[in-house]
Amino acid sequence: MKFTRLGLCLLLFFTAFMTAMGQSQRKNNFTISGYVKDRASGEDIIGATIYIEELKTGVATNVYGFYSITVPAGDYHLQYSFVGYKTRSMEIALDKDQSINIQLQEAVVEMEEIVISSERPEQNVTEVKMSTEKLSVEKIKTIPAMFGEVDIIRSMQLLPGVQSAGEGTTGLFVRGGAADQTLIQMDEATVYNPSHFLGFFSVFNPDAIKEVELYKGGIPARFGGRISSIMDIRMKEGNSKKFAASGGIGLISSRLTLEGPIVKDKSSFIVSGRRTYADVFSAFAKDTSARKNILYFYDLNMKLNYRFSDKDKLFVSGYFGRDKFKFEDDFGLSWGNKTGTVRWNHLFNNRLFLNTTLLFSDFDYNFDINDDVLSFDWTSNLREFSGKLDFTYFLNPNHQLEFGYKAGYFQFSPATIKPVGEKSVIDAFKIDKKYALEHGIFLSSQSKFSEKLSVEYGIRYSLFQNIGPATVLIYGDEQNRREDNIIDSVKYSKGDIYKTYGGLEPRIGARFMLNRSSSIKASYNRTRQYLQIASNSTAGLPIDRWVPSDKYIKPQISDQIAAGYFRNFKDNTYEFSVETYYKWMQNQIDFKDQADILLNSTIETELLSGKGWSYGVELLLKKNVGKTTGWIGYTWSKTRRQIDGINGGKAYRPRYDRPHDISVVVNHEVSPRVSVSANWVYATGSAVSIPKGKYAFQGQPISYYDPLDRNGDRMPAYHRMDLSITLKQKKKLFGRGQGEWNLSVYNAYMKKNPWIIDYRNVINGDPKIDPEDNVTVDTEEFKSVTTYLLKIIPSVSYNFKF
Amino acid sequence: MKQYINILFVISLFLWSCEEVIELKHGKAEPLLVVDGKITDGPGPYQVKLSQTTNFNNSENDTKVSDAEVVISDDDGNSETLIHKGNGVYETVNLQGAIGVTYTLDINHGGKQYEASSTLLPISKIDTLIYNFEEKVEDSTGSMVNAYRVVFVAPVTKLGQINYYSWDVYRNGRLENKLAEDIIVSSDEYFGEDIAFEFDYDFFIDDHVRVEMSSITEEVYNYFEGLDEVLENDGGLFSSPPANPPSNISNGALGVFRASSVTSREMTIRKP
Repeated sequence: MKFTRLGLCLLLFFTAFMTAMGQSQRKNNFTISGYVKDRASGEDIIGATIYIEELKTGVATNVYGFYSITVPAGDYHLQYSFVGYKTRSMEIALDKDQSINIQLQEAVVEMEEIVISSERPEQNVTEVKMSTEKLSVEKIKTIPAMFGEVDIIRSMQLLPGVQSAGEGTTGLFVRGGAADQTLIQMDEATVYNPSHFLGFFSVFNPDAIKEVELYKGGIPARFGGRISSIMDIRMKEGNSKKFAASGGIGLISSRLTLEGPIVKDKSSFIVSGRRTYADVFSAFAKDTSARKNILYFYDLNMKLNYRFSDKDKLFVSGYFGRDKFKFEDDFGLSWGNKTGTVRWNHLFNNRLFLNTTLLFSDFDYNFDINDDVLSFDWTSNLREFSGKLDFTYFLNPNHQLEFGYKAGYFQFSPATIKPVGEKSVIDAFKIDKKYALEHGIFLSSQSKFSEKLSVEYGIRYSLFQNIGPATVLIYGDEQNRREDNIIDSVKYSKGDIYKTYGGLEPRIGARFMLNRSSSIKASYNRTRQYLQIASNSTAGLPIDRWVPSDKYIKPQISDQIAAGYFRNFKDNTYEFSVETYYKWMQNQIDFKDQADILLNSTIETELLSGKGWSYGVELLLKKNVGKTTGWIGYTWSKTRRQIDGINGGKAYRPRYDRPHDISVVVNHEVSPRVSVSANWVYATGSAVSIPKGKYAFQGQPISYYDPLDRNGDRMPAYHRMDLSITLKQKKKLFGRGQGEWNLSVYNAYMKKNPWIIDYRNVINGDPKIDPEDNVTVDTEEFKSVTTYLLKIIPSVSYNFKF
Repeated sequence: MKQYINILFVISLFLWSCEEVIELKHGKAEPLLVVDGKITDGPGPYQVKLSQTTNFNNSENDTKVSDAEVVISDDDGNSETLIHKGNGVYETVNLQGAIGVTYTLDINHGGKQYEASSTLLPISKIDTLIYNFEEKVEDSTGSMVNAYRVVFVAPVTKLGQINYYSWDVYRNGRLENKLAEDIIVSSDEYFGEDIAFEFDYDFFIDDHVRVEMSSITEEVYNYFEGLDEVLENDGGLFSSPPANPPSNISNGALGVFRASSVTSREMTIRKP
């Protein structure tokens, strides 16, 4: 791998360069560095700020809780702060390099008055980062949840700029991007299919998660691989102070988490599991035969960490989850993700930080059909093995460098079908495996040019290689690929690189302070994507097929510019922001009508590509502190795609183009024991095609669609309110534990939101009447029938912790 | 395999959902010609049915076309003009379909010309037709009776290409799958030496079963698959965006013109 070697050389060069620069500056300057942790649990705090009053300058901890700041010798007042935590101040006489590990204590509401000081966090205004939404799991847990199941992805859908495809779907459609254009990673390992139970729930067990950050734009150079957004999920590390257990019993599932020190302050673990009650859904079924069905899912998260010294820390984490479904004895479907992360943090010196990570991801599904002569077993699998190096170099308070390299190996096995039983007439069938490599090298720098102007600029170079063994088909006309037009095929043996794509991905962001509480920011980024889901539906399914770029599927490229105004009010109690963006997307894929995707070994014959664009405005008013917290978000946006061969070559709306989107999320602490929450959402109806007429064929009315008006109509607007109340128990559980009840109501005012609409004959005006039912048919008319899902769902859950 | 996913949805829907009729703005479209024509290697007359699309909220589902000129010709230059029998049905008089011949349908209606062609492909024989006990069900008198399912087996003759088929199932001379949603088509792409499956209809003792298997072209198969997609479509959430089935008729007409070779096999369900 030539490229791998080149990457390593560059890294070594940077390392040497930084060390040299560091030394030349070292004379009168000293470095303060260390970790910021949570006092109760020992968890690292990401994004805590360290501020030096005298110099009016500061830094923030990186994603591993590490910070480093190099300043001239002198006496300083340091302030360590983080949202929701009590600020800690200390005085130091800096005459040599110092390592200061700080523990911050969580602020409880009653202590609010003490917490609010003039140095309240105002990061959202001062940091260069924009178009980013960060939610802690504690915050997410206060949002009323469907069936009482706290859901991280569903909570992200409440943020401006994030659309959902419809009720009961987990895809994130960010700023006009499709669901597969968002990279979802847990402890840096890609999660290829984040849904459970066909999308009603997501795979992230809230008890195992620390926090979630969503980058909608201004994507840092360290991230690559998806063009639209990055959802970065960090798992908890486990309490390193004391043994703790927590869990919950809900309507759908039960959870249990155990965590604690292995060696106090040196090593800790966390194990967290969740499982739905066996076949709880089918148990409600009126039809007794449905009770024979199996339907459940489970998740297991684990993490271990070991601190060898202040300089070396090792983390090992993993996730394993699976859905199982069995319909009587006729067919079964199961699917699941596995991820693994091994991470080693190393401090070369107090200013150069290295994170080395090995990653593994796997997604597979399995079908087994037990249907007499048609019995077969079908498996499909996608695997990724990656490794990466990320350096952070803290040059001086005004200048911070990040650089690194990532390499990944991908293996796609779209489908292998085997006949089952003697009688089966199914032929064994297999779609050839595909293999690919992806590399990314990046350098980014954060520079403070003046008190007012800070700039973050970076560049990423990504490279994608299709590798053998493979057989590449040659078509008579490359633009118009048809199965009957295959004129040749070329075989490549193992390890041969037969197609390479690559390119630069510049990223730049700037922040200009208008005054102490307001700023303007702007950013530009280019992103490239080499893997995509081949699907012509909007919502994700467990059988979605990931396909790599190749000779016929060009990599997707996106360019986004964004600008925003950020302002805090009333001593940072309120955060306000308005952002606007424009995004151009190249090589967007869509499929021909009636495309055959799942079992197609020549998928390029069904695929069309073109361009897409999206623009919009997002407003967000947020209150993070006080008894009442929450946010109001409003988004106006427009998304279009234009692909030759679809909609007559005219621009069309993707289904998830929903111009108006409002969300209101409120949590109020009535007393230390009681809190109430509510949220309300409104969104323009999804863009759909409604029949423009009908005709009869073989005794049945058939909808007629205008072929030049794809998604030209809209579903009715969607709106809904959810409520919840949390009551903490007064009595300690077994003397030391804490228990709480949560009651929630999903869709409180029982809005009948159309989920899907279909068109069919309706007997006597009642869509529930089946033509085979024994009823007198007075009328039989072709009608639009809407299916409402989840009219109102009250639920109760009990959570505890020791 | 989408059908299995569909079952999954049906189950989840049935647990949590409810259905209602909704009034939507459907707009209007110019009426388009709809063709349903078939020629076989069996005895004639063969029929071509013509109609036009209509507005969604019309009480009738279509408008019959009675003033068209309809001609079927073969690749040897023979042609015959079909006679309108009323209600949009046009019939041949002397034409006899034959294997290996490509038939062309020409329609002149409202000043527009439409054309379609289809080749009458050969078909293999059904070599086995059997029935298996399925379950006990309640009959109209309330007593429990045995229900049987019918399985056919036919050898596949793969000549370096994929073959396409359609099936019709008759019980006591009555067509069981007569609606568009009941159309049964398949390719033999994923089958080995034989193509076989079980029909989803219950049969009872003394029922006479007749299964007809027809050859169809890839174009016709794609039309029926497209028709099924429109009928099953959920508007694009889990299914693909809805689209009209790909017609083999030119000039923007809807529907299909098919030529088929038909083979059949029959049996009577006997008391065990």
